[in-house]
Amino acid sequence: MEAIRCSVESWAEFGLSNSANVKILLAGTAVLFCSGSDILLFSSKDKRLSAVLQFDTPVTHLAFSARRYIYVLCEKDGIYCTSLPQQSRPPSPPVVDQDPVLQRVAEDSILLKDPTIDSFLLAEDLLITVSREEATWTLDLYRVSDGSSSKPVSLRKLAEHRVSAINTAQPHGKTEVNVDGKDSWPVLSCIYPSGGASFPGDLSGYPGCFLLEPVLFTLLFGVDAALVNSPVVLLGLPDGRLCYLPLRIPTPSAPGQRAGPRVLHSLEQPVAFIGTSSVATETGGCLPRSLVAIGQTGRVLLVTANEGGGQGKVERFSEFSIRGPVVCAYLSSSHVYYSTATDLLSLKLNAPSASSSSSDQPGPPDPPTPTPISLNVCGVIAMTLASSDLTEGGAVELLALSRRGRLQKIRLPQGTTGGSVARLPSSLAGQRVKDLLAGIGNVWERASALKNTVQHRNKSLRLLNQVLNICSLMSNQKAEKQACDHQQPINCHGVTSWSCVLQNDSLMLTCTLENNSAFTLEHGWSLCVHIYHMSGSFTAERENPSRTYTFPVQKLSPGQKLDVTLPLGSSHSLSLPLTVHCSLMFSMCSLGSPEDPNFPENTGIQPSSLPIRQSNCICLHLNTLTVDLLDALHFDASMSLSSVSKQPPAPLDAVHTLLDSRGSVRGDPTGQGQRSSPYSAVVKLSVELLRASLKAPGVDAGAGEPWASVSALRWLLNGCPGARGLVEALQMPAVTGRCPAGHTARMTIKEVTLSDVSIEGPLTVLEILIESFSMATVCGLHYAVLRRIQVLPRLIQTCHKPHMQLGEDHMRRAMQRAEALYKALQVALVPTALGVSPSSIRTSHRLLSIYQQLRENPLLIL
Amino acid sequence: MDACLLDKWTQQNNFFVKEWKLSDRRIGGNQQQGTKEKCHMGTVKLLQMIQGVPADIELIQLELTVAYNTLVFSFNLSTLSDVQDNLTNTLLRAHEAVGCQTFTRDPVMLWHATLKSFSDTAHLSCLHNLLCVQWALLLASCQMKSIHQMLRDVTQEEVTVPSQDLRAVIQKLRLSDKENSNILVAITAREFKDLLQICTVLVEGLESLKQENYSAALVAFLEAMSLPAPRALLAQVHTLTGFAFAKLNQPQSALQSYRKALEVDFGCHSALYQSALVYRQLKNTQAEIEALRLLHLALVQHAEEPMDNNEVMVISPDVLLSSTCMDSVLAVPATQLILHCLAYTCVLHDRISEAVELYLDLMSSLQSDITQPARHNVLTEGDVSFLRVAVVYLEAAFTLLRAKRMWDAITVCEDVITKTMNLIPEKLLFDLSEEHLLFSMEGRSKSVKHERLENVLWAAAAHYLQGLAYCKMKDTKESVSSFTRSLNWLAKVSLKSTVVGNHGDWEVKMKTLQRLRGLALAGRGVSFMERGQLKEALRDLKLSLQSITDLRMIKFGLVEVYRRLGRQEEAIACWREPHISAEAFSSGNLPLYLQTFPDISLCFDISDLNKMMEDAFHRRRV
Repeated sequence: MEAIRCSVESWAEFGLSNSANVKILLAGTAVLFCSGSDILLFSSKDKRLSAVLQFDTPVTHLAFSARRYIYVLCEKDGIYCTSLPQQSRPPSPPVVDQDPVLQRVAEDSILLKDPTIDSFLLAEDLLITVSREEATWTLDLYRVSDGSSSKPVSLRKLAEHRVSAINTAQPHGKTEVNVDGKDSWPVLSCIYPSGGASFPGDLSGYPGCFLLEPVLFTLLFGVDAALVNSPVVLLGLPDGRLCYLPLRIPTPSAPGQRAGPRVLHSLEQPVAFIGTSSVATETGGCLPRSLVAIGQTGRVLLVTANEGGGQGKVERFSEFSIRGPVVCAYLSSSHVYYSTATDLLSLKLNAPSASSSSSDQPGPPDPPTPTPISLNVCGVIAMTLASSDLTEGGAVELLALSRRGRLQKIRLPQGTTGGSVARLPSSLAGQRVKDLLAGIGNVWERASALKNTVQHRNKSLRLLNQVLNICSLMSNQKAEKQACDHQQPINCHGVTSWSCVLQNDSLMLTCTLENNSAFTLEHGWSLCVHIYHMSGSFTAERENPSRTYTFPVQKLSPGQKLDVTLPLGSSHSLSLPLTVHCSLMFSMCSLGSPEDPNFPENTGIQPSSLPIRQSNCICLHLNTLTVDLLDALHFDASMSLSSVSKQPPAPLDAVHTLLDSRGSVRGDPTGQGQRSSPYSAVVKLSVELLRASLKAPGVDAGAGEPWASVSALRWLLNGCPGARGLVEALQMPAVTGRCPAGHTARMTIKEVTLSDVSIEGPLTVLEILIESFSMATVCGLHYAVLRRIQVLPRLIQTCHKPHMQLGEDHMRRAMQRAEALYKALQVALVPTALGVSPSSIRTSHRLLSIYQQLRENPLLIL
Repeated sequence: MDACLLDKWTQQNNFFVKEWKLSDRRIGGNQQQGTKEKCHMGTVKLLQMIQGVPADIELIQLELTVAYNTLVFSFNLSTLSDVQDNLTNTLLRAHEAVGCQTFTRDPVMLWHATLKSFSDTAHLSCLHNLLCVQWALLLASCQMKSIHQMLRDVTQEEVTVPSQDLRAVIQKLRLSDKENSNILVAITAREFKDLLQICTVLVEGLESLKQENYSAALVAFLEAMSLPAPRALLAQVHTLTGFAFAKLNQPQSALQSYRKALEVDFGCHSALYQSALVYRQLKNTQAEIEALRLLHLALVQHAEEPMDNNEVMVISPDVLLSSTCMDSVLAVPATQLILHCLAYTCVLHDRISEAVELYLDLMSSLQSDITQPARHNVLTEGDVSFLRVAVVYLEAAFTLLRAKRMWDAITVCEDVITKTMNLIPEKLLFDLSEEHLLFSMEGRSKSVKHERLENVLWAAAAHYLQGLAYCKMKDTKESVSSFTRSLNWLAKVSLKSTVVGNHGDWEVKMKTLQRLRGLALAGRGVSFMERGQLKEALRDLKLSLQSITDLRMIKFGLVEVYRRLGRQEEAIACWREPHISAEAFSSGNLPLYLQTFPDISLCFDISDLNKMMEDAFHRRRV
């Protein structure tokens, strides 16, 4: 047996009255140990005895709680709880020979009076006691909580469990087993699964509490205990049995199983020590991999978790013997230090690791029994760790109390426990590698998906920012627009044109979206053009009441324009006037990227279920255009200034031909101002109004008489697609055009002076005469002209509006005419109102004549 | 000197009796017990002193009274055989005092002799007191015959009437109640007799209950109800009556009785528990859950502040009624079991959000509460199952899944997996022709192997539930791997013979295994389908149909796969196949977490599929 040099430092020597059941305990800087019915407090700092606590009966066990209370078990009495005596440190210079405090513990500080208690264990807030009554061992659980002022702590009993005792009348006497012929005591310890949620912060303050690796824990104490991270009380009985009791398992955990402690193993000799030994891991921490129990005559039980050769992990109980008797033992990581009263020995536990597989069969030899190494310290009867800091210089320091009462500190060189890195069995390693690879793959996949998502979201946010900017811009503009007709930064205007498609003339509308703002219209915006017929029944049969065209805007930088052209209809199917709504739309759908289907991922909400499509749309109204007959007139050079004649270019059918020919027979157009067969309508407009509103360049008051008529006509024909060349060349205030349906129409403007309108004097008035053989054309043109004129009063600022006093006669005449017409209209409508089916021809004739009267003598627009 | 001594002893006796009664009224555990012990010791010492002098007729009254008090005290503090011995000794000394010899120690014979020799004396009342003690002792050991015999001796004149009915005898029993006001007694003969009477009737009822003669038991309980009794005992009588009613298939009367019990004493938890069982039988879920909730609440509060029983009897009825039958009726499962029962019921009846809370409560209770051993080592009536923590975890995960808390469910499953993974062997071989025999055994003989089988099933179920959660979250990659792991674990179990013995536990295990395999395959099939791996999907779904035939979900999955594969004919054929049974969870003993619920693991819309198939079918016919 080789020896290891260890340094022993003797601190003090006391006369121990009874060396039978000596316990030593480190409580902060104080060393506590019991001797007979006294507890001695030794200050490790000052190296002197600081206090003595006296009890009535011999002290058999003591514990120290984190709250600085000492729990003392006295023989045939019970458990006392008392605080540490005040370390009277007077401010005066330290007196070297200060007498130790002598304190007699009063009987009223007894916490639990029960003479049968043999041992107890303090684990966090639990107090576990074991007591023996004749044929049963009783395990009682109490919860320790703060007590009232009279008692420092109070107990509440939680549970009581019983184990029947085996009569331990040993045939060969117990003297050789026990040091002094005393009965041996049960040993209690509490095992926690490491890494569990109930993992107590610091177990070093609780001697008797150990951590155990989860796999072994599960194997020994069951899945249920492991799942709830239940602490397990291990009870080593003098008869050699090791009983365990999970604290948190619901009552009978399996049918037929008895609740209460169960036997784990039997050492067949009194248990002296229970603990867990740990193996240093590569991560630097300690993993308590095995459970160790030592019997008093030297049998060592080592429980480890092994690969069970196809059986999964199995627990493995290996036993070997060392030279006994074991008086006391201490376990520090993988070394057991134990005293045989004559010598202190160190035993390195090499856990039978993965190398010894299939070890549950009896065949293969056990790993060689570790040989204890003598440390050459004799007479140790109690020991504890000197400092809780283990790794200090790689050495272990123990505090030991010898039989003769010598308190000594033993410094042991700890052999470096290198090389014992936990290795996985090959089968598990394969699985582990697979898992890890799968995990890496998953993480990569998720990371790239997340990256995409982040990028996409950034893009969306940028886009959304632009959108909001544009929205606020437009809405501000809208408010300002009320005050003055400001050009919008983003606007849209339209121009009509004729194009010939498949020998069929069709009217096209070209909308131009102009971006004069500082923002870019990006992907997601679209120009929406909504076309519908104005209310009113020009044509009874309208097949397509409204149409919507949407043009996605790819990118429209500031200053750029976007032209879109859309058909309004071929010359035959066209029915005017049309209203065109232009608006900018932004759909929120385009924020969620279409190429990324699981865009809002991992939320559990299905993205497609969100009603983005309908409601989440921003719509900015740009403007409303009207396309009327004036925008659709054809002008041919040949037609100019020629007499009004209808030339239907493409007669549709016989009926039309017939009707048209009848009209031609009836119509005999001659000179201007002559009331003849073509239908006509007149609009009267004051020149002042036109002049004030149209401040056209070159329009001058002294430019001569026909200027007003010609410029008025130019203005009216401005938007007309067929009149582009014509307008410039226009010399005379009369023009002839052809409407899409083929009817020709003439528009003549002349200047007349009315004397009786105003009392201030004669008034120059423009008289716009519209003539055509087609009533519809007349109506359409009349409407178009009126629509343009309607804008005029709005253009003039109120201050510029000339105040005019109207002539009374003129007013009266106008009123009379209006009333008469109104009456005639009512008379004409009587049959309809009475519900009598009107003889359509008569009624319509009558209505037509009223209309003509109305149009031929209109009110003057001032 | 005698008189002086007599006075002193009388005073001592009175002091102890007063002390005892005082301590009964005081509240507080330890001290009370201490005082009582002191009183008991005091009377024992006093009795020893009295018995120190030779037996004398003058002292006999004091001696008998002190002995009576001592015996009554010792009922609570020492074993019944000790009490019996002491009683016998006292009687022998009384015989000695009057100068007649008896050698028998048989209680009935001894009493026969005693009553004969003391029939006329003034000490009859003292003797009657002791007779009550004897009665109580016989009652506690259930010797009804002996009681009958002994009491017949008391009512001497009726000996001729061969009354077999003990209750009739008790009715006629007249105990002398001449009280000696100088010497106090712990409990008067009349009170004692009342208690004994109701207890005797109860014990008779309980005997009938044990022999499953419920109507006889009911008669006894109804009679007991009419007798004066302390509150807690009366509540117990009502509960027992209700139990008898329930056994006689009169649930409404039973409920009425339980209600009365609760009215008498709200602390009567067993009445609440029993009524919950009746409600379950009546399928009144709402009421059942309500009752269980109340019970749980009461138990929790009870644990926090142990109720102080206001009326402490000198002799507790519990000592007299030591029938296991009564214990089993009156026992209430532990708090956690009740909580589990409540949560389980809620899940079964689709009250998911409630169940989630309850399961979370239960899990936190399991993780934090130190369990207490069952007070009675008897199994309760009713079907409260034994709680395995892993099962609770899996059920909780299932509930969380149904409540759409996917990540929570996954976490809980992960817990189960990490704890069971290491325990699973490479291969588990079962020879079915033998194994069921092993399963039928109890206790320790239930081998490690079967525990391992449980572990496999738990781990596989945990993976399966994780797969479901991933599938719900459309993470089909994860779900496929989870289902695959589940199947891998299940594949470790191999069965040697297919003859399944009709043995409860074993059969359930095999069914669970099969169903789990089918469900995992189906889940993986659906996940494959979503990933577009239609071949694999088809294979898995077909395999799963072999394990589970009665699940529409699988069939719909199959139809959908055929449709996506463009195999329209097969899709229609499969769709037209009549499905065999109702979807209802008619599992019997299968675990809760293998239940299927309507929106389980299907990622497509069934109604859409139905419509499509109908269209396709009609098109084909046209």
